[in-house]
Amino acid sequence: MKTITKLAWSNNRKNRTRSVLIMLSIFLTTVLLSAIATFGYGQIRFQSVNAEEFYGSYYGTYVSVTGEQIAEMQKRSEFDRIGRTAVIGEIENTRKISMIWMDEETIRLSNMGKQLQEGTFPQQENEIAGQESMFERLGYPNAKPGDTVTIPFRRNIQEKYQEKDFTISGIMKPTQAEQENQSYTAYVSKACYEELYGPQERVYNIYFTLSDTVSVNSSDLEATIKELAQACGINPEYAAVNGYYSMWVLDPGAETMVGCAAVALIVIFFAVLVIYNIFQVGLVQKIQEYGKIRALGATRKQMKKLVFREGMMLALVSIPAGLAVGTAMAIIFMNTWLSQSAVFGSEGAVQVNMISIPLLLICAAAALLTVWIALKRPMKMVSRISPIEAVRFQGDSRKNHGLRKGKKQMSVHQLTTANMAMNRKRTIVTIISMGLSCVLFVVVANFTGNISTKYDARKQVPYGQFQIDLSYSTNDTAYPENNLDSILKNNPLDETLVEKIKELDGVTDVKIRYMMYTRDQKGNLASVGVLNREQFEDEAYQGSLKGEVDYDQAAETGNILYGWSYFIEDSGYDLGDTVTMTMGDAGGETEFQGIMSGAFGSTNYDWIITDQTYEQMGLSGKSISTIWVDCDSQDCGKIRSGLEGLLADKQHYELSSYQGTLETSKSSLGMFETLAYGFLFLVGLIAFMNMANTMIISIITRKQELGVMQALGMTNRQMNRMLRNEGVIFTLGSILVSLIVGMPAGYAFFRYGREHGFFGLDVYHIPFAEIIAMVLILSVLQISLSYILSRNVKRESIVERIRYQE
Amino acid sequence: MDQLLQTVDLCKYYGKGENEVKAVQHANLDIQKGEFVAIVGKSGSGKSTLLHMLGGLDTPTSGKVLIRGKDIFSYKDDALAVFRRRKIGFIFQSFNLVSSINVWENIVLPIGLDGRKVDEKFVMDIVSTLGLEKKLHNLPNTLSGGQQQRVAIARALASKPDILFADEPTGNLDSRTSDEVIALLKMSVRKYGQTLVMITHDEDIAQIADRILVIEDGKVAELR
Repeated sequence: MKTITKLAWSNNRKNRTRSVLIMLSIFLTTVLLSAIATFGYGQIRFQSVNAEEFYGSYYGTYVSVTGEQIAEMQKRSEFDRIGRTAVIGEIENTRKISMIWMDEETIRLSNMGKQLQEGTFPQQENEIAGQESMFERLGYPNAKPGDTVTIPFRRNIQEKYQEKDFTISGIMKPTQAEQENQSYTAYVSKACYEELYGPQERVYNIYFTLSDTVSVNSSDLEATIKELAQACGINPEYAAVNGYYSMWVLDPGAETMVGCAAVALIVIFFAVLVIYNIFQVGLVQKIQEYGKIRALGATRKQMKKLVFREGMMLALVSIPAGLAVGTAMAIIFMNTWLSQSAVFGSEGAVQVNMISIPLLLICAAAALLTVWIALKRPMKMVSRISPIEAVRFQGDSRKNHGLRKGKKQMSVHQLTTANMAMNRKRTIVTIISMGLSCVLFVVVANFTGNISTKYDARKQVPYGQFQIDLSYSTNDTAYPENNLDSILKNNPLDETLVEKIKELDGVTDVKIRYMMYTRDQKGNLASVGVLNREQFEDEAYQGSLKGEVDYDQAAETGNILYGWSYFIEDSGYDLGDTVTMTMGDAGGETEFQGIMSGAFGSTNYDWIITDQTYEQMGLSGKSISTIWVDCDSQDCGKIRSGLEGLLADKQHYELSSYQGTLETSKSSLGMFETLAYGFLFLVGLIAFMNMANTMIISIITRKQELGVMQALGMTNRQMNRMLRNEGVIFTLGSILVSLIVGMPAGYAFFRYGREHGFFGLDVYHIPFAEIIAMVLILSVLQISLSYILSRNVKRESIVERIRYQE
Repeated sequence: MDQLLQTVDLCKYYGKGENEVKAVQHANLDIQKGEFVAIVGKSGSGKSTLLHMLGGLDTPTSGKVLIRGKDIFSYKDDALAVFRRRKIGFIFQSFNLVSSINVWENIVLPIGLDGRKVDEKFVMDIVSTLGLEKKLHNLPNTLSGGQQQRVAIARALASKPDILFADEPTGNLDSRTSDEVIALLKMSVRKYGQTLVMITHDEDIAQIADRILVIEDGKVAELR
């Protein structure tokens, strides 16, 4: 046993170049595998931890729950944690300021504690907490804990306002949602609630978690909590799930995992190809060596073990190094990404521990497996060497009976091609493995090179510089006034606003899109976009359509279309079904009936009808859904403040700008490119090891021949040219393979992405810049390799080289 | 007779101090055009080193090698390579054919490296003199040792050099083949009016030469 290990060790030492190349390949493979795993794991962990951070750790909520129903919930083992909160009333102001109480459990479950800027949540009957800007609105600027404020409020709209003195116990951080909606929440204590509401009047909203014994995932959570509501006597319609939490925490990140696994498989495939080839090429050269060992009495099994150990020794050094570097790379990348990300970077996301020891062990195992697969054939080959064959072995068996047509005249070029032809298999495997990694590059370049950030931004903000969207809910049971039907009755985006916007100095154009609300027969609320021809065709252009999506046809027949082709099942109808529902807007309600003829890829609405179909309904007033404002780009700052002024007293809107959307799009494209090209560069480097090995082996085996050729009068320049030409053939071959295979594949990938409305894919153009970059990088690598190799050859004198025996 | 090759105090020392090996010491040779000179010596006597220096493959520690009065080591590396392929033909013990190209291509390789056009008639004449007509498309490792050495002789002759150097050309051959090859070598040297310097440790082969030089412990002496 020990002898074989020693032999393997000395073999590795002797073939130093091969060992280094294999070690580098294994190292790079492990780097990639562990970086992918760590990155994927970090993503999933980050999302689940931060989902709790941002969206709270409750599974769902019930509204309008009585004390008895809570007692019922507490009896059931399915519920784990139950938190109570109650609405006390609203505070008198031009803005909507609601007054609520939350118990400690709810504060924990909804992560409200994090929102406290200073002080505490109210404990005493006369304590209150809220944002600084809320107190400012109430006439108390620079409010701080300990200040006394007088608050006019009422329990509900039927009652009159009453005034009450409060002491500020805490100041809350400003939140984005509250700023956008221009609405605030004031927090008071349980004592205050119980003071104002008698035992019979008390109704709670409940935040809860389910115990671990209830197995739920993101798709069946809603059904489960509705069943539980029923069992406790709570109206199931009043149940809502914490959607983000269920998505990120209960769903184990299946998509991320599948993605990472697919990428890891590609890496393993390449690594096997390369490590196998390096071993195989090396073996052919050493076959006499192995024959001698065999002749000295090594069994087949021992021969296999010898090769296996040679490989594993190299793996044992490279894998831990690869794990360390790969993990570090993933962590650094993830941190950069997060710090640049608009969503997570600004709000102080929780850093997660991205390192998972079991996962790294799996990576190590995968890397070992890669080496093992790569070794299988060489092992078999070595074990089959018979001592006699080996001693006689003369390299690859020749097909054409040792004949070569050749040319009458000789030249350096002739020598190069002859050498390539001689080792045809080796040349082809090398070119293919290099070529395939370039194919990957070209495919990705076809994709990223065609991403238009402008187009992507234009998907969000189709016209002009600014977009004002109505912001609404369709299923807010706790605050039905936030629902679309209520909002449309008093639409903040009205014709008066449009007129005022048009009057702003610098505004060049204003466009409008209308919408309606609808109730299906079960009473579920949904949104309906009313599109004119231009808007209709713009949406259709973005792809992923289903069924017939044609403006004229839809206008003529009064058909209705679904807004999200991917979720078409959610509509409850099949294509061609007749849809019956109540539609309404500011102008009233009407019954609608029409055939669902198709679906758009993804729109802002559940349903889409044409403006002509709308006209036929004969309603009296249109409801604006979106206003686009165009201006010269240098006027953007002025117009923005103008718009903000006009919108200052309004609620339920969202203002976005084309420039802002473009920035977001650019930054996400940048990160995607870094990730994709970083990965491809490492894969390319692994493949390059293969080329380096092939060229080195081809020089070592020809050391003597090269010496002879120089003795016969080949100048150094001619030799350099010959070696360089050999490299050029590899490079050109790889580029050719990459273009022939990669361009059609890349184009197909682009088409697929375009049809499925992937990120910013619009007009196809050949990604010249990326391909030129690839050719340049390859050429630089190859030229430096040729240079190093020919310098190495020259280090020995001609006489030494002529005498060299393999 | 005109003098073709001359060496002046040619020395080659390896190593330093106590480990110094004097492979060639103060060799002063004169070789005339058309001569067949054999250099004999035991293994390790320095004969290969001497030949390598004569052919410009190895550089001397001191002294000069003059071919047609020109010091070959005054050339730079690449110029020396050009000089070799134009003026010198080599025949090695282990044939040293290039394995990836066929017999014909091996023969015309030095001419090709020089960028000259092959004089096909002349080369075919050499090929038929050496009996290689039927093997022109073969790759070297399909040939026997004797055949390979004949290819090497043809290669050395094809570029019409001023002088041929043969380093134990029969060292890897059995005695019958060896006799054949030597006979062919001598015949073609005569036929093409070549000058040949051959190293051998075989006294019998040396006997057919015009002159015999003996090298012992790096010192060269005229035997005949």
